[in-house]
Amino acid sequence: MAEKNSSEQSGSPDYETLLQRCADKAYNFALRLSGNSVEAQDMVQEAFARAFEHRNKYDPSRPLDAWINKILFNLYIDAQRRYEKRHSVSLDSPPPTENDSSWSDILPGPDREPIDFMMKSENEKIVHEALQTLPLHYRTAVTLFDIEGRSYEEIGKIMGCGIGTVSSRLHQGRLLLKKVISKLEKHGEVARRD
Amino acid sequence: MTEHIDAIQLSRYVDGEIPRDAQDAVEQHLLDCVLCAEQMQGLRDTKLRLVSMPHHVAPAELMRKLKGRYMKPSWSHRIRIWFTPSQVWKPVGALAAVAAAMALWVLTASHEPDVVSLAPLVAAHSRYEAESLVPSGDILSSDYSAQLAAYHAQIR
Repeated sequence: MAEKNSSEQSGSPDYETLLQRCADKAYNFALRLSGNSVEAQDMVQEAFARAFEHRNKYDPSRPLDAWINKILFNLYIDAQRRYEKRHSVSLDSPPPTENDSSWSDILPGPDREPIDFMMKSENEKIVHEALQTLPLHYRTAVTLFDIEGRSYEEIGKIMGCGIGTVSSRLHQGRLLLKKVISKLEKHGEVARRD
Repeated sequence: MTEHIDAIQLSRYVDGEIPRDAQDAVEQHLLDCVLCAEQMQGLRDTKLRLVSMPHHVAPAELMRKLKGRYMKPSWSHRIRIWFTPSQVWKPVGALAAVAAAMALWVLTASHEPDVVSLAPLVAAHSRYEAESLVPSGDILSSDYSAQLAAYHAQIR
């Protein structure tokens, strides 16, 4: 894209490899952020569109996939904020219809099922589910460092914070994750016994 | 025993993100402090579970859309593809070669009927006739065998 934006290069096998690599990385990151394959695909498409639109802002000294991940992260934060603004409602306020007993009966729960078919191992299912419970900044730091293999510095650039903040978020994220995983595993064992 | 290791420092140690001398100090402390060693092991186990998460490939549908949008091949590339022998071009080339050979044969072959010279045949017939070898009239009634015997005797 910005690395190879001439029409001559856009059809070459190198360009195709680059596109595939960036798309794979972006898709994995989006999948861990959103927890949903369909949403992840939409996010990746949107991120690529933004990257293409602002290709003159790309710094060629940095990897292209890191830049796309940064765009992806910003897009996700914006989407979350928009969603929260539009859907925020007090649970104490009366429900829209008289037949419904409370807001919790109307509001949808977390959407977990669309990705289940992709998860091959029990570990992946549990860790993925646990990741979805983490606050966004912890989830992002843990995903980028431990799953995507990025450095503290790269994560700092993607998340727009310093290395100290990155290590703190990573630590908090892992501690929380450990608690959630052990809870989920206990719950799973109880369910299996029953 | 020295003070417990700072939690974030321990996390950085697990990530291999602290300088060599600090790393030695942490390792020395972990030998003596069960609490810090347990905490470190917990962090390491969680990290291992995360590291072992598989990487998914972008779905084919997504790739199709991205390639369709960001991979418009150049004209020179398209032309190169057209002139690269491929699975389609090979049979097309073979058919074209056969068609060319047939066209060449049709164009070069003469459409006039062959003119066969009858002169040698006529000459031979005349010679046989002169030597009375060609039976005349009814072949059954003619004394063909006697004539043939006479001819043999003559040439001997």
